[in-house]
Amino acid sequence: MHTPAAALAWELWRRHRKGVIIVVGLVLAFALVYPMLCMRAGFNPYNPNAADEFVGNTAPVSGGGISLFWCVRLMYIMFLANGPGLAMVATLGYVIWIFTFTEFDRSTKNPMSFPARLFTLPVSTPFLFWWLWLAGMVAIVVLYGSWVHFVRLPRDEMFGAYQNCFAWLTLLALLQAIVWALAVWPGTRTLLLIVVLFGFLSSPVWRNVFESPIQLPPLFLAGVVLARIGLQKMRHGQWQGWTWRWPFPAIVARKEWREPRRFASPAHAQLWFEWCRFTRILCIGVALLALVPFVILLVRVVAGLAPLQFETLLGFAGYLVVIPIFTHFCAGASPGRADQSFLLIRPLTNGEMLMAMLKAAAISTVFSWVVVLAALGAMPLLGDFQLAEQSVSVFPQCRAAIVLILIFLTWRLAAGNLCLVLSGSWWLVGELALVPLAIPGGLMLFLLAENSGYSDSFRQLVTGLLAGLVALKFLLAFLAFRVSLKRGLLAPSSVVGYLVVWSLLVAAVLIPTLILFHDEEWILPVSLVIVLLVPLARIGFCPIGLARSRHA
Amino acid sequence: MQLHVSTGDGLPIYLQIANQVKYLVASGRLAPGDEIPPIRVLAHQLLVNPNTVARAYLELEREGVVQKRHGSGTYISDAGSPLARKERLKILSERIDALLAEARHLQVEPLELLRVIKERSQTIQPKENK
Amino acid sequence: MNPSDTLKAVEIAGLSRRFGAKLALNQVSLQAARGRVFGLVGANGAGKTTLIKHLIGRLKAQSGSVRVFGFDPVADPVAVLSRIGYLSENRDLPAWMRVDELLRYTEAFYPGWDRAYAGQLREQFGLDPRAKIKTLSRGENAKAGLLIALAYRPELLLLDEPSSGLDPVVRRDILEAIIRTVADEGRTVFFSSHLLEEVDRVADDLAMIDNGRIVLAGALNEVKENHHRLVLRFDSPQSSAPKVAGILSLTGGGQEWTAICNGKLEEVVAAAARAGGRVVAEGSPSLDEIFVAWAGAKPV
Repeated sequence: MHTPAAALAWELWRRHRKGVIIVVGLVLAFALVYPMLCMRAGFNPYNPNAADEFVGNTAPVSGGGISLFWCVRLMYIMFLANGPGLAMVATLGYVIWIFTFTEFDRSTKNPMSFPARLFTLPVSTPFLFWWLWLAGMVAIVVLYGSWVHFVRLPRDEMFGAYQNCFAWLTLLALLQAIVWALAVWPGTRTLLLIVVLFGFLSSPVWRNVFESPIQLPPLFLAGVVLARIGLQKMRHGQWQGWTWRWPFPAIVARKEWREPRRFASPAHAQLWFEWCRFTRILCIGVALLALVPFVILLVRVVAGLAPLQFETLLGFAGYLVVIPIFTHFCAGASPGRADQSFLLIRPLTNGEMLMAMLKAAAISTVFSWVVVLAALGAMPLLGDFQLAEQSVSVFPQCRAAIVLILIFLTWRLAAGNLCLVLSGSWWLVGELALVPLAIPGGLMLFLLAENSGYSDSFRQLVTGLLAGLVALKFLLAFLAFRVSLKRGLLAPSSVVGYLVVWSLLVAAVLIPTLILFHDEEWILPVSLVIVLLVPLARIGFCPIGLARSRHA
Repeated sequence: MQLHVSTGDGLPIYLQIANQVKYLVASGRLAPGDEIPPIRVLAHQLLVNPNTVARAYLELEREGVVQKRHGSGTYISDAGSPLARKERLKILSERIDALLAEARHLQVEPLELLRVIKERSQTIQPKENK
Repeated sequence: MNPSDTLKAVEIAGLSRRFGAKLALNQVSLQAARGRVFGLVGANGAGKTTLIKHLIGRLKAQSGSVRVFGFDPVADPVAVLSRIGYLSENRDLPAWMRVDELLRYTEAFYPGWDRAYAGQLREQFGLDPRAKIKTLSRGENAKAGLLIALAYRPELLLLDEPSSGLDPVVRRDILEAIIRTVADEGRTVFFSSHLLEEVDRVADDLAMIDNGRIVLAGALNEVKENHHRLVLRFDSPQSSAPKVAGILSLTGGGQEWTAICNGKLEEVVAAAARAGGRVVAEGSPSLDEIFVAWAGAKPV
C-alpha cells in the first residue's frame, strides 16, 4: 500500500471480505447455474407470465387433489421467477451499504457516521470524497451490469421496477449525503433515512399513489452536492445541529424552576422511567405513522388529484393494522433493553421491575390501538371505503374478535419476549423468527389438506398438535412459576394476580367466540390458539431471565 | 491554623501534623490556651482521614503539647508540661539518635552539628515551655 | 441474630471468579469494618472492578461467599442496595434524563433521602437542575453520580475508581465526600483506586490485589510501618539485581541499589551483608513505591 487511495481500497476490502466474496459468488451462481435450472424446469424467464402459465397448465383439475409434489414444484418455480431479482436487489443493497462507509463514533455515540479517524489523516477532503464516491458508483455500475448482462433476469412486475441503474446510483448518493452530512441532526437523519429507504423499496407501487414517477436527476445531484459540502463541514465542525432556543424569551417568561414533587412509591417511579425510556417514543411513533395516509390525502387534495382507488385504501387499512404490531415487535426485541446497568442496581426486586415493564407495554398497546382504530374510523374520508370493506368478506363479529386478538398479539410482542431479551441470550430471540414462517407454512398445509380430501384428519392432527402445545405451555408455566417462587424472585400475590388476569383475558375472548361459532368445524383449534396466544409461561420465565442478567 | 501535609513524604501524615503543631507552638504562632480545630474540621480542611487527625492529637496530648478540656475542645497546654523532665529527655533522645545517624551518613562531625543546632535555635524565637 | 448486627460492613471469604479461561479472582478474602475507610488498590485489570461488582450483586459468586452487612447481594438485592451508595467507574446514568428528574427518580427508592441535603449538594457541585445528563461534562457527570449516591446517607459508600479521568477540583469534592461520610458515626467507605496519593490520605485499611489475588492487607499505618526503603552499597558493581532474601524489589545500577523490603529489618540487613552490600541510607517508602514493589515493578 503505497498511496492513500490504495490504503482506502484495502480498508474497504478487508472490512467486507466475506460479503464481497458472497456477492461475487451469487452473481456467478446465477449466471452459470440458473439457465440450466430454467431449461430443466421448462421455465422461460423472458416470458412475464411464465409463473401464471405454469400454474394454469399444470394445476390438477379439481377432484384430482393437490399433491405435495405439486406444491414443491410451485415453490421451485416461484424461486426461479423471483430468485434472481431478489438476489440482485440484495447484493446491490449490500454494496451500497459498504460504500456509505460508516462506523460507530465513540465520542458522540453515533452509531453511523463517517469515520472521524480519517479526518485526522493527511488527506484532503475533496480527495476523500471523490475517491469514495467514484469507487461506489463504479462498483454499483459493475455489479448492476453483471446482473443484467450475465444473468438472464426474468421480467416481472415486482422486481422489474428495480432494474434501473440510475435509481441505484441515486440511492447511493442520497444515502451518502444523509449519513455523512447530517450526523449532527440524528433525529432528522433517521427520519430522512426511513423516508428514502421506504420510498425506494416501495417504488413498484409509486404509480398507484403518486401519478407521476419520481424525478431522479435532481435527487442525484442534490445527494452528491450535500454529501460533498457536508463532509467538508463535518470535518471542520462547522455544523452544530439544532441549537434553537425557546423563542420569544422576553414575552414568554420561562417558569422558575421549582423542585418537582415526590413520586408516590418506587413502583410509580419505575413506571415513569419505563414511560420516558421507551413507551413515550413508541406512542409518538405510532401516532406519526398513523398520520401518514392522511398526509398523503392532504398532498393529493392540494395537488388536485383524484380520490384514491379502493385497493389503495385497503392497502392503507392493512398498513394501519400492521403498524402497532410491527413497532411493538421492534420495541420488544430491541437491544436497548439488554443494556441497563443503571437500572439493575436500583434497590428494586425483579418482580417490581418486570411489573413496570409489563404495565408500560400495556399502556403503549392500548394507546396504539386506540389511535389505529380512530384512524381506521376516519378512513372513509380518504375515498370510497365502503367498497373496500365489502371486498373483505368477513363477518362484523369476526372483526371485533380479530381486533382483540391483534391487541393481545401486540402486547405479547412487546412484553412477552422480555424473558428472552432480558436473559441476554440472543439466540433464543431467533425463536421469534419462527412465527412469521409458521403462518404461510400452515396456510399451505391447510390448502393442501382441503383440496386433497384429508381435511378431517388434518384438522384432527392440528387439534392434537395444539392441545399438546397448550399442555406444554401449562407445564412450562408451572415449572417457571415454581422456580421463581422458590428462589424468591416473585411474590405469591403477584403470581396469583397474574393468573387471575390471564384467566380473565382468555375468557374475555374465548367465551364470545364459543358462543358465536360453536357449530363451526374449526372451533376447537381456534380456541386452543386463543389459549396459546396470551403469554403465561413466558411471563413466568421473565424473573428468571432478569435475575440471570442482573447477577451474571 | 494553617497546616500542609503531603503524601509520599516518607513521614506518616499524623506525624507531619503533630510536628507542624509543635513547630507552630515553638515559634509562637500558637499561644498557650489557643484552641486548635476539632478533629472533624481539620480532617476536612486537610482532606485526610479523621482517624489520622485523631492519632496526631493523641500523640500531641501524650507529649503534653495540648490538652483536652472535657466537652469544649482541645487547647494548647500552658507552661509546665505534665511530663516529667526525664520523660521529655527520653523523647528527645530518640530524635537525637536519628539526627546523629543522619549526620554520620552525611559525614558531619558532632561538633559541627552542635554549632548548627545553636544557629537554628537563635533563628526560632525562644519560648517558655518546652 | 439480625444480619445487620455484624461489626463488619463487608465480608468476603474464598471468592473465586472465572471468565472463560481467565481466572479474574483467586480465593480472595477480605473484611471491611464499619466506620472505617477501606482502600482497594491494584493495577488495571487486577480484579478491583470484578470484586466490587460482586458486592453490588452484578456478579454471582462462583465459589466462596460475599456478605454486605450480613446480607447476600444476590439473594437479598433490596436489602443490600438500599444500604449502599454506589458510584461506578462508567457512570452509566441514563443520558435522556435531566438532573432534577434523576434526583426525583432516585429519591423514590430510598426512604432515608434527605431533600434539603440533596439540594445543598447540588448547589455546592454547581449542577443545573434542568440540564440533560448527556450534556454534562465528565466531571459534572461524576458529581451527579456522587450526588445520588450521597443524598440518602448510605451506610456503605462504594466507589469504583471514583477519580479516574477527573480534574483536581472534582477529585477534592470526592475526597471531601469520603471524609464527611466516615466522620458521621458508623458509616463506612469502600473504594478502589490507583491514585495512591488519595488512598494514602483517606484510607484506614488497605488491600492490594494483583492478578486476582490479595497480596497485601491490613491497616494502612501498619503496612507503611512494615515496609522500609534501604539504599544498599555493594563492594563491586553488580550487572543485574543481586538476589537478597526478604527484599521485594531492587532497582538501581552499578554499586548502589535501592531496595524496598518488608519484614524484620535486621534479617534483611544480615542477608544483604551476606550478598556483599551494606546499608547506606534508610527511610520510609511512599505507598506508590510499596505498590510498584509488590507489582513487580510493573507500571501502575
